Amino acid sequence: MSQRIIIPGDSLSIETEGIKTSIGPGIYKNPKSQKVIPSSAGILNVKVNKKNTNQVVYTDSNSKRYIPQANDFVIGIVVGVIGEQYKIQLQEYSTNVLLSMMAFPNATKKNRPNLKNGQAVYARVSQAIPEIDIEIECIDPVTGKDGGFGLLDESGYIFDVNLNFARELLFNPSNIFLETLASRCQFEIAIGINGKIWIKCGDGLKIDKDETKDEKEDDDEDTPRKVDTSNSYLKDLKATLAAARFLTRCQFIRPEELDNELTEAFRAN
Amino acid sequence: MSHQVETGVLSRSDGSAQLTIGSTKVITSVNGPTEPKARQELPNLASLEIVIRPAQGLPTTREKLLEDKLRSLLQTIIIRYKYPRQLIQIVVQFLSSEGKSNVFTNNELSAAINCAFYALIDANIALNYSFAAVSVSLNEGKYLKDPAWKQLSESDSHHVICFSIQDGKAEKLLLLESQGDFSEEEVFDTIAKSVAECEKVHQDQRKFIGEKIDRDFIWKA
Amino acid sequence: MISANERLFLIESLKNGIRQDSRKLDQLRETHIYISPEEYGYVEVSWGHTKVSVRVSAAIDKPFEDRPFEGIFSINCDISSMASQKFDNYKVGNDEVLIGRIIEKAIRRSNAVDLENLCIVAGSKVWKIQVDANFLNYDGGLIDVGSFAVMLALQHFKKPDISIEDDVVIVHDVDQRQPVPLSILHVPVCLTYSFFTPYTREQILKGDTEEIWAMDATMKEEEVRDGMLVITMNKNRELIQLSKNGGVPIDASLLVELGMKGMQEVDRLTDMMRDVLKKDEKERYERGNLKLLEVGAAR
Repeated sequence: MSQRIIIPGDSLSIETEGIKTSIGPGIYKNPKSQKVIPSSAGILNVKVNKKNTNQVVYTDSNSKRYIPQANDFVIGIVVGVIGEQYKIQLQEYSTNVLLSMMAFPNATKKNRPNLKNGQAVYARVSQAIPEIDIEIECIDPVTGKDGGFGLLDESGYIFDVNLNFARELLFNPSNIFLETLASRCQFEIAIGINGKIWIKCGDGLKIDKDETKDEKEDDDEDTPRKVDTSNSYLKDLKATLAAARFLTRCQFIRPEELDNELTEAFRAN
Repeated sequence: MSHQVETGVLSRSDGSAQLTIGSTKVITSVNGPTEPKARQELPNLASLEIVIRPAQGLPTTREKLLEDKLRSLLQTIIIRYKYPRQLIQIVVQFLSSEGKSNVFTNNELSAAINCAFYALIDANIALNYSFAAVSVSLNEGKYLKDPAWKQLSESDSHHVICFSIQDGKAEKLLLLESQGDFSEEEVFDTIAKSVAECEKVHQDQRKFIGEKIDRDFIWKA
Repeated sequence: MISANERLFLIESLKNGIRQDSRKLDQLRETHIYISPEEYGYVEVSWGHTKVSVRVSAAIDKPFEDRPFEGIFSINCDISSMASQKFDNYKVGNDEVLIGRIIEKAIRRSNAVDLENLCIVAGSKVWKIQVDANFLNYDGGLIDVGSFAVMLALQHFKKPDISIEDDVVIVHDVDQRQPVPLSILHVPVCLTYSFFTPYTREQILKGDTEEIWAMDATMKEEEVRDGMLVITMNKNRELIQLSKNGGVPIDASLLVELGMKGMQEVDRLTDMMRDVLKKDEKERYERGNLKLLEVGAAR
């Protein structure tokens, strides 16, 4: 497929008469002139269905700053509580989004989730109207079950990647990066389209369950969790950090350098 | 004079670019859309925070004036209605600029505009169209692009011209800054000549953006 | 805000001597230095992702009335939101003040630049040396990188040569006469140690803990640290500044240990500055064909 790079100011040169057009990222329809224009520089994608009745137009480009869209899967960090809602940070310095305490499976007024500041959740953007506060939820609206959403526990590490790379990992089932990583170690991963990735190799950072319960009772939030000090924990900790390092590096290298990078990332430490 | 451009130079910014034209070197960062301070927030569009910092010493009224010019230009180019209640922060830091006496801001303004373009593209901020600027001087009617400080100081007049670019062609005149001694005829002539120069700048832009996109998707097989 | 996950991982790995970027606890990040080939006194320095540009400039001014024999020397370290959105463009934050003060104390107040050497005509004309440090990208260690870059730029800078004829000061263009370097009395180097205490308050007070420390912290590490210590020293084994503003208490003997350890890095960084300046000097010499101008050159 030949790639066409388009930048703002270029004509889209697509037929819009007699065909239903959906516009995606990087394409803007001017409300006054009704003109459809490219608003960012990227690779142009035009996908027309077989009957020639529908088409989708969007550009593929990279950015670091996430703009919430409905139905996106994101990883957010709890930064506060207002009333019955958590304030969730999707990216540093971005406007916080809201997560209702009722937007959890089986949540009631009495049975609320108990999230602390700093904890991470995997959630779906349920409403993204830029003029008002954006909302996310940790529940599958169809089944009413968790659907894989909810708290991402502290056994996994969280790190940031560019948005185009996060999309590749999440949407391209044949991407080679996770497969390459899997050849090296077992891991569990959650990918947020907002460029945050939660990963744990093996058991990750093992937190002794009994100890944490004790900790919860005293109020001091700064009290660190007791961590399992058996030998395998160091191995898993190192592997998790190495995996994060590997995926971070993947964004800047050619596919043929992957194996080399994998060895490199796991050799350090 | 050829432009040297590097994008994505700062890891902490959402978008950044470094541009060198002759002895003017400038670095620009773009952050946004992010959360504005309460007093900056606009209910239906994005607010712009533009800061220009000189290569030497503290910012003065000279930088404030440049900020104002850049703001008037960018606020029509950026599709601000796409980011209501958000903030877009643009910091232009000159690293070196020629001439000690701070009299001329021609090359600085044109470099700031061109550098801001690359940084905005790098940050993936929605733009209505592309734009390109040139700095020119006229000496006894002789048209000179990107004049050095010495040539500027000997010239009769100097101008900064910025055009919007549509389909690779200069379309609308977005900004014209003229100073010195010149006739109406001369200024129209200068604008006409600058059309081709802005288009040349744009050809460079296209090349650099192509390279940038290749780099962004380097991991793609 | 940093996630609890990252915080826990950072602390746990530091406990085991592991860092996110696979450095050792006492290892500084890789340094990149760019020295302007045309100008004197413009440098760009990066340690890892942290990047700083410094420009030194000189102008002739009137001295302060109470110090007629001394030149004027000032360092300007404003931090804009270019470095990180943590820094406000219009308001000077606490971190910013601290960074500026520590760099100023290390360099200006330790008399790194000989001010009397900047005097031209006592009481009426002196050199005013202005240092502008611009922080371009923030990933921790602004004090260390900033002071390193300022000292490098000061050593690289040359001011135009002057002569005085009948009370008139003539400034010679750099092209006409070789410019003169500043008189640098010593080269202070700042090293920041970050402390982490994954222990409860009672454990610390009982004293059965050992402080975890790391040099040249990244932004993430700075965010989770419980205290920091800045030691400024020079190659002559002189201690210039100790700055420990609150935070977790540390063992007094650790202070001595860190000071001794830091000496190696001070030596290494000072030598690094010397080497890059030597290289630059050599390149300029060759580019400018200065050999032809030497006394012994064949004409």
